[in-house]
Amino acid sequence: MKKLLALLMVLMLTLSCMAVPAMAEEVTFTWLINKVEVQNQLEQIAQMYMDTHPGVNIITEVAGGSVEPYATRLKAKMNSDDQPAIFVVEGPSDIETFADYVADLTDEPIVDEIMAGLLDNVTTADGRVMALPLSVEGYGLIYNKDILTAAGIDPASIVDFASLKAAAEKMDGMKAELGLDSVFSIPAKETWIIGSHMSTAFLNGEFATPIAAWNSKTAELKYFDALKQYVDLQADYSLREGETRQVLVNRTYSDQIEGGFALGRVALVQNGSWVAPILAEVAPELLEGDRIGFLPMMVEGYRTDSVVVGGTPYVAFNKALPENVQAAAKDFYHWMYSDEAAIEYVLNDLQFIPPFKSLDASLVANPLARDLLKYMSEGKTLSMMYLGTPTGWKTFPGEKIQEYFTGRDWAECMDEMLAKWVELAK
Amino acid sequence: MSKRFQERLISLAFVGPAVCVFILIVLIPLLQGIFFSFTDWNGLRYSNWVGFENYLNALKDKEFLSAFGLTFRFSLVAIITINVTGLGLALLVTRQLRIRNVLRGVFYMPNLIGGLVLGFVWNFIFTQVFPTFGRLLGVPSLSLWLTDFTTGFWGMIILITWQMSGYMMIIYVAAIEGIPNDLLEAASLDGAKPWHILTKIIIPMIAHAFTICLFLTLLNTFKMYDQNLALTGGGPGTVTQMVAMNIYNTAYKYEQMTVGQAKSILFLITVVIITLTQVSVTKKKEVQL
Repeated sequence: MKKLLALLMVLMLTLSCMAVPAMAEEVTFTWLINKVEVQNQLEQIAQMYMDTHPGVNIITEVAGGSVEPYATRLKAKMNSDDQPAIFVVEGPSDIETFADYVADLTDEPIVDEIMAGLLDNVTTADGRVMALPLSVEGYGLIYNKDILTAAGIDPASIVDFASLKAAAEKMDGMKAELGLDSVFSIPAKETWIIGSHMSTAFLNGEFATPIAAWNSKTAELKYFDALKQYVDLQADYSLREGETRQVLVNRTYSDQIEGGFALGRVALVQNGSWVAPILAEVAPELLEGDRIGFLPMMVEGYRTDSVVVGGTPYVAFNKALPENVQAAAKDFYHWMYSDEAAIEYVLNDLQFIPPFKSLDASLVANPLARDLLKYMSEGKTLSMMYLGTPTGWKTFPGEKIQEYFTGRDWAECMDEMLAKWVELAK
Repeated sequence: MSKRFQERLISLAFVGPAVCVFILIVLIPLLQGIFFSFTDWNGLRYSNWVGFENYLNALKDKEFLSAFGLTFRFSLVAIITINVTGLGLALLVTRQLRIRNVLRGVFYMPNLIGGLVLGFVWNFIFTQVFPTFGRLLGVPSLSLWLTDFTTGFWGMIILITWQMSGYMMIIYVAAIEGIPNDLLEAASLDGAKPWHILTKIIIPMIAHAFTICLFLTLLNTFKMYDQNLALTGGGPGTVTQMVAMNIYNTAYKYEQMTVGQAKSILFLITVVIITLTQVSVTKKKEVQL
């Protein structure tokens, strides 16, 4: 009798499990995004969509960081039965690797609504659009206006490397009055900042777009002399009393932002719009009015009036999944930037800048984002070249700059950067 | 059902699950890995058979070879420091001390913390606490820990010694307590000095513990990854990058999956050869009563 009962229960369980997928009209898909710091908000916006669109189920997955890199998880997922419908691609290298999955979006009407320039990184040589920006991000030299003003420096007067250097020297001489530990803070431990972001900005001018960099088997590193003086300037004025350059290789992102800039102990930091959520937590007063903003990246010899802007993270849609799933995924993306409640959530909670022409700039509250949009409207932008460097190369200049700080010769480091490019671009 | 068959069934029921798991998550991936190391697999698909090209590329990689050199040196030093410290602690806590049980617990505790956490804790000590003391004491060089090869190397040695000595201590304690008391008493009655008791009786009598401890330390230091990642991240540059990290970076950072796979097969062979040699050598030194 007991056995019979057990058998019956097992049977019932099995049947009930099988019954779920049999219901009609249900669509379930996963979006796998690399923004670990806003996981809750991503889940929340998916929930908002599910509440207004019965029959659609969205599973939010977030991966990234140094412990499990995004690409590792994505590859594992693509090898499984549980493929994401929306996933992040980092420029041409991923588009090539995931060619079996990345859908061609060229004919989607939504493509025409994206802000100018943001699609350069994900358009193939023959003009096909393979991914869409999820937000606008950018980086440059973030300044603290109060400190600059106290030192008698107008941010607008810093227009080239010489004026930046003069400003740094002036503030360095007034460190005690300004309450500064140092003028700059270069987080040399983070190769993604000093390598991917800082160094590759100096590939602008040498290559027109990241795609051009991707297609090039070699590089000249034409503006890396300008990079050297930019690195030297930051290094020299990142030191506290009695410190030598070597100590900088231990300096981290959080030393730079939470431990320096947010406390007003550092005047200038090279970083991006993504620091706004961190500042909102530790120093919300900095986000009021226009107390902080971007100075340009000083690519001396090419352009010294622009910041680096891109549409990261770029998302691709999985063409290996059924049509109705793809359609639902695209509709979700479109909804995020067309539904009023959704836009409000994106702007205020997710703190993404919608990458659409229709964006009403007056809705953007944080000063870094507003400054970025201003640079964009004036056309003063550089490309995120790290999206197009050979796979794995982007952080390599960072490793070499670390070695430079510990006493190696710059020319030698540059030779190795070049050799690595050639080796990886094969 | 014959008795023999029944017995077999029972032993299968006990061993079966473990064997299944072993085959599924160790053996099959290993064979797959060997297979992929001869192809041009990119993590998603493969189209060509490339023979030994991946292995040649691995051996041509200077970073890989220097990571190997570093790993050898690191293992050698770490095996000595861990086992000397572990044995020292074991001798300490097998004496008639009132707090010896507390001490055993305290010394063992670091081993319970994960390698990543430990790495971040020591990173904080080296890069935040040391510089603070340096400023207070007027020794600026204290702020330079982990900024070059030497301090990075010794930083990792300190970390791994601190983590693993307690574990080795437990094994040595068990072995020391297994030494028959009459041997030690007879020796001290004959007027043997403590040093002689240690070298002529204790150490030969716990040779079997050396076999297992040397094996464990060799294996763990050789394939160390998380402590390396959290403490130095291989930096500055790549000077403190050990083999496991180099393999990981090859596969995931440079996305050269098959070269990384070839490297890990080479690494596997090396580890097997070294540990088998070590076990067979130390086995011969064990004393049977």
